[in-house]
Amino acid sequence: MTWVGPTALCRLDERLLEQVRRGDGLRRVILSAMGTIIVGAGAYGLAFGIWRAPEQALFSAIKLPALLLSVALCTIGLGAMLAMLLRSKLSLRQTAVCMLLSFAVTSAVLGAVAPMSIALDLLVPPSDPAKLAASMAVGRALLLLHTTAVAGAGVAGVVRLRALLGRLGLDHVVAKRVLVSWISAQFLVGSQLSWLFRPFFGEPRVRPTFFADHVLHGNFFDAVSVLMRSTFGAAAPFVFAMAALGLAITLVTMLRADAKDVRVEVGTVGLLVNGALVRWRQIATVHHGGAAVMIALVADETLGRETLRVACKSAEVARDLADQISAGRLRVDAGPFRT
Amino acid sequence: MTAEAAPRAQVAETTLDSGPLALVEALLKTPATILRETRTGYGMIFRLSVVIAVTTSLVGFVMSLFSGGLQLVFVPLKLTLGIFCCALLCLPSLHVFSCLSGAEQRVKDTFAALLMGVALMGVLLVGFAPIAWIFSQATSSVAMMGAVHLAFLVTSSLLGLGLVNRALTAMNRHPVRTRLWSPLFILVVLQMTTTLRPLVGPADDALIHERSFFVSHWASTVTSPERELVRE
Repeated sequence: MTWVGPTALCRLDERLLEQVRRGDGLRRVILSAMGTIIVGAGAYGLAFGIWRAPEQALFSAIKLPALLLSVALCTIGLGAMLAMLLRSKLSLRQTAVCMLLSFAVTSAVLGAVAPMSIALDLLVPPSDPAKLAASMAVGRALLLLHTTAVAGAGVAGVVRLRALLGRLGLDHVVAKRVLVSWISAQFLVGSQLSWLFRPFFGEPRVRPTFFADHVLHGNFFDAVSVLMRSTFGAAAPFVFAMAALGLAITLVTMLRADAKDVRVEVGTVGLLVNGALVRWRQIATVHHGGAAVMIALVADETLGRETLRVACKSAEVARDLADQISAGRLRVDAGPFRT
Repeated sequence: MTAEAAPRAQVAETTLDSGPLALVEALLKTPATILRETRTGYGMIFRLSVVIAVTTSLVGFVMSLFSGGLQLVFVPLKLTLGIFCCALLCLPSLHVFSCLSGAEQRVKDTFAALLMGVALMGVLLVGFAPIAWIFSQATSSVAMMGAVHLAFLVTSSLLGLGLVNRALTAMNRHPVRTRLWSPLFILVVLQMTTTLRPLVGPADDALIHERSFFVSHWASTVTSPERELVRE
């Protein structure tokens, strides 16, 4: 079994993509991605904890890869279901590979910057409980640096995942919807799991520990709520409601399937849409509005209906085109149970 | 998976394999195959009912892990019965409302479409179950767990209702509007979670509780001094 190296994973080599497309030899890709996660995220785990103490570095080196793998494990099932539901045609194994590859890219980036972060940790004044105020100031700056590094690596992982879905041949609208649904699930699970796996960085006044005391007491969202109350006071519920509403609207907007812009030619047996034949019986509805014609296709095996948008030069041209398509549709009879 | 901006390739008609996982896969990928099978007899309705029973029992079991004890038996039973009750209560309104928007299908076909939606809801809830389990093991707040389960239930219901709408539309010449009916279904599901309480939190002696509107029940849960679960 040949190992797929982290650079090949980051580049998304054509050979690797072909394997994912065909669904062959995915075990090898999965193991390689997991190996990259363990090494890369483990290295950055060292960087996270080394400033506090060597024991904390060891604990974080175990916990950071464990966190990423746990998030993947908890979301692969749901991710596969959402991918199928959003018409991506990705199987469970392909979903697992895509998610693990994204985490592997994140881990590879983290592993690449880990030596710099470790060096920085070792070059700044060390954590010293006797000089708490000075140590806390250094600690906060380092924590900000590590958080920025993890966020940057996460963005790199998401960008590569977007490219992976596109190169696997997913329609760009489908790819966007799949990506948003996966990231939402991973955010939900990741926020809670990172809360459970804390501390990664460690505080000067607290002894190095694998899990925090009372690890199962409270949760991530409780902590956010406490922070919001202390920051916004009485306005906290309003701010929370506004944030939740904004998030919900963003999600709905991003998950909405928009009409696809196409060029059409009217033929005798149907429409030529970007060179592909769509027969009259495959067209469910047609209407024009302004200088555009909207064509809804009959549902396929997914029961999903695709909507096409044809931009015309003027409202008259759009009306004329809509009339031609309607006339073509009337030549065939679409009965009940059209699927 | 076709070239950008080209219309989606019409997928060739597929047949449904036997086996429970094939049905689950068809619900997610090719629900039209299930729709065709529903026209041939009552077998598909039975199979969909089995999927609903199994998935809601599983979800109920995961839900009951928060409090343990007798809830491990009660919650799966209550959730399964509750979901079937919701489906049966909402069937007449779905059929009449769809007919009002010009639908021509029989009651049996409406029932099949509804069961498809509810089955998809159950399958998605199983997908959410690992996430719910993580939260249930890390908090003792009944209100928090209730909110998590409600969020998952509403999300799954919305996706399930989308399938009901698409299935009904595929049965007819014109698109069928279920926008008025969908909120009613969610309302019934939410009320059912209150009527069958406690689904989250420890079991109590009463099998049937006094009547309560779900909004006031949520308000009382959030403000209750006993909102924290006592873990041994």
